[in-house]
Amino acid sequence: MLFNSYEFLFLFLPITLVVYFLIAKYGQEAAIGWLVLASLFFYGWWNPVYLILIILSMAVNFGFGELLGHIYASKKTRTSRLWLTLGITFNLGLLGYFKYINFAVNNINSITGSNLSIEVIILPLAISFFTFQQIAYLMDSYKGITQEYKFSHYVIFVTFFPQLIAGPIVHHKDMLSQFMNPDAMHPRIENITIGLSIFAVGLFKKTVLADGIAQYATPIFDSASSGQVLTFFEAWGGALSYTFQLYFDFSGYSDMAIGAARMFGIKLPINFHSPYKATNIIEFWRRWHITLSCFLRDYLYIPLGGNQHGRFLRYRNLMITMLLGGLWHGAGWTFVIWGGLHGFYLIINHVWNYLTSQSQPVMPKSLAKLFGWLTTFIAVVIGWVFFRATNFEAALAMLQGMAGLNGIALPNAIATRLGDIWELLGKFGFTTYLGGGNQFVFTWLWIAILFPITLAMPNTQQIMSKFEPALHLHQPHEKNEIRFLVLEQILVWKPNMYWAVAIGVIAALAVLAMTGISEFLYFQF
Amino acid sequence: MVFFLVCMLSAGFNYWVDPYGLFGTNRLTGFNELKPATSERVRVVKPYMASRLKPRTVIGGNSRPEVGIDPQSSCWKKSEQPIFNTGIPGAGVFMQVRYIQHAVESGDAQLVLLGLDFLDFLIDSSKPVQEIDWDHLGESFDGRLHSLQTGRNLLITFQKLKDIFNGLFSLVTLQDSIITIISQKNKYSATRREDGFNPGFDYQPIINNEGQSVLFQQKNQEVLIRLRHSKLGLFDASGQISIPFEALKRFLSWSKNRRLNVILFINPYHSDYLTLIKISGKWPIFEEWKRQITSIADKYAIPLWDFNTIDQYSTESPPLPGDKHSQLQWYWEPAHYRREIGDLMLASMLNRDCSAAQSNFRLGSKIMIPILQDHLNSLASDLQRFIDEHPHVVNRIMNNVSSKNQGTP
Repeated sequence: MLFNSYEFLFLFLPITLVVYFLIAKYGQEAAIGWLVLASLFFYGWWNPVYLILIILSMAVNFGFGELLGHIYASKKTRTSRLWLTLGITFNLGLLGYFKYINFAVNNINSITGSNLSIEVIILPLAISFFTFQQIAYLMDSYKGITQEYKFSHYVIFVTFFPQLIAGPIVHHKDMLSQFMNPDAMHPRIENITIGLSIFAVGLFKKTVLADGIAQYATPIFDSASSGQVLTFFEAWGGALSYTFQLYFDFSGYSDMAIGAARMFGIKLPINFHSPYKATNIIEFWRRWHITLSCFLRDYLYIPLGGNQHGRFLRYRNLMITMLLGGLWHGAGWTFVIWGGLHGFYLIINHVWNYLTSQSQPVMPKSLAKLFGWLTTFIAVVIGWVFFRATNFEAALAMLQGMAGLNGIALPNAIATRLGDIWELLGKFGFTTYLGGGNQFVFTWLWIAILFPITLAMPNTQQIMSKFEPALHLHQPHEKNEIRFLVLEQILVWKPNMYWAVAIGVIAALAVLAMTGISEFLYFQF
Repeated sequence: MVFFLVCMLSAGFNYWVDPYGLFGTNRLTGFNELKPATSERVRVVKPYMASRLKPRTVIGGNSRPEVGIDPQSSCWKKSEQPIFNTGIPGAGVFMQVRYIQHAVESGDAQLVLLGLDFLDFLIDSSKPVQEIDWDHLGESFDGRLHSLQTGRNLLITFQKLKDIFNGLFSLVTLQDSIITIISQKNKYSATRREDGFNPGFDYQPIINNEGQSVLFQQKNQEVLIRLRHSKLGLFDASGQISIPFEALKRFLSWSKNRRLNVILFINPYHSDYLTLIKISGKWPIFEEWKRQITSIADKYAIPLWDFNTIDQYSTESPPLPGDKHSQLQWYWEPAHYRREIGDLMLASMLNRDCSAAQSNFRLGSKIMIPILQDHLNSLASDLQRFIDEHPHVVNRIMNNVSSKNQGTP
């Protein structure tokens, strides 16, 4: 079930919420039982068959967790490591089979010339997310950080519907303590109001902004896939449209997850913090899909050795982490390239930090910040081209256009209206093409609207900052972001009439924007 | 509270403006008469328009008759009115005839004019067509149309409710409502009239700003890209099956059972278009297509008119690049004729002196099996003579299609 569906908004969410608090009067376990049933229903709505898979996965992981907890208590380190390895292998095996087997077979065929065939396996919804969440649980159990004794509690940790489909990736220790808090069993107007407000903002980001600009990104990437030659503005229009589409789509989804959970009195960890404001790529990854970055840092980068064994090994660990992070996003080489590209960016950033720490600044701080932001943003956009393109050739076609190798052209209809300016542009080698005038105008109009929103507006957490909207809030340093303090100070949510009206309007527009086909980009990750 | 208020106000506003012509709200000059947003939703709204108009005469086909045959032409008799134009841009033959059937049933129409188009009958001849599943062929649009099957009323009702809901409670509709009001100041806004006709207003700003030559250039490029597809043919790989021909036959059979008066006509093309068919090597298929439809028309005893001609109407030269003042009298671009040609066609088909042409003039000719070969030979030789005498036309067309989509501001 999608958050931006009528069945979720007007049936599932209100019924689940009301019944939860009604049942909670009769006991905590009954309420959690209801939430488990509702969450499984939410998951099974897509394809009930895969309920078997997620329940099996949870049962096995719960068993591994129990074992690891007992072994930790008895301090048998070697046995513990063996069970942990088995547990992780089980999870990665499941993920590998459902997500990567077709990819692997195709690659074996193209390398060896063999003709292995396997029927196409449909990727079960959210398998990447619940796999990582459970691996984190096993590792935490192994370290004695957390322990669960009740299967129903474990199930609600994994399947709690707001975060089940596309995160944020949560930790058992963060979640269970909240569910077990007796206060969470009572409906609080503050939680409902804050949750609804965050949810409304998220829904608006998704249905109005992300879906609004998506229609201008998709045709350009489709053209690149079909081998059409893209000129400078077309290619940049498509790349920037996708850059904003992805941000508003995924951060909107995360807001909705945080908002829906808050209505139940549960705070989820923050997942986004205005990533396009970052002035360096290290900071970008502290702000983009934060819970995944933390997972990769804690459960991959640090176990690989992190930064403990010299600069070279640190860079190697970074690259491995980002390559695997890329592969996690999708079974395709373009995702691996995207991950590798970001690994490369991060290495350059670390090398740069090392070199500049040894010398005097070469340019004024404000200029350095602007330069850093621009470089970071362009690097991120180039990365998204690989992330979105259907294959390597399509990504290269996009990048060729963006580099101006196919010329700079405007739609003929626009060129004719430019008069003398066109004469000048013509001298710089601008050409024209027929058709596509409206597409061009609306693409750049959307970009002109969304660019300042991403750069100047406070994010949802900042707007709700007085009410602890999420766990593990990001505390940015001034030097790592471009800031527009005025709006941040004005747009601070308060429980008053003005904000009620504003949120009502935003929610109405978001719901009105739902007619039409809309799917989350992260739906099958 | 605010949420519901905004939703209800939006719905009320959308109903009042009715940007797609879905609800049939009164069209007020200067407020919502022109409906530019309809252009992208023709398939959704035309069934509703037809149901409201209850036509006595129906014009069908693709975008060519939609923009060329005017229900308000002086050629129509009072007894034939109201007339509805249910031409659907980009529709295949099956969809075209399904929309005609819906319009006919909406008003118990007695007369149908169906425009046939060569490109609508070209299919991938390298693939075999399995058995045609007529019940599911129109799944994407059948929900809005009068059903020929029993037991589908619930589906239709559900689709209509969905359309009404989407037409009222939608941000895109709200945006289109606002654009509709703003667009009234522009006399060249695209629109569909309540009788389904597309007056082609949206061609005019392109002609005024870029010149009509770009319309020719762009259409010539599109048509040649399509015609150059080597696997195009009239039948599937078995050489037996063609969904468009079968759809036409089923429609004519249905019409006969209803005692419907049907006139088939082959849409007129500008000489550029005919030249492109020849250049692409598809001329033999073009002639074979005419043989097939003549045979079908003969089988069902239906009159068939062919408006492909090489004459003063079809050979009018497009203005030179950069000329933003001149425009053709008879064509918008090589594939779409103006209503002025439409009037000449109506005069021929209905045998009436109603157009700007001289009273004894009849555009096109009625074709039948006995005269078909002579007719085909005549057109082929006329075109060849025209090409021989006007080599610059072929050069212009070839320049058009080889200029990599570049325009001239």
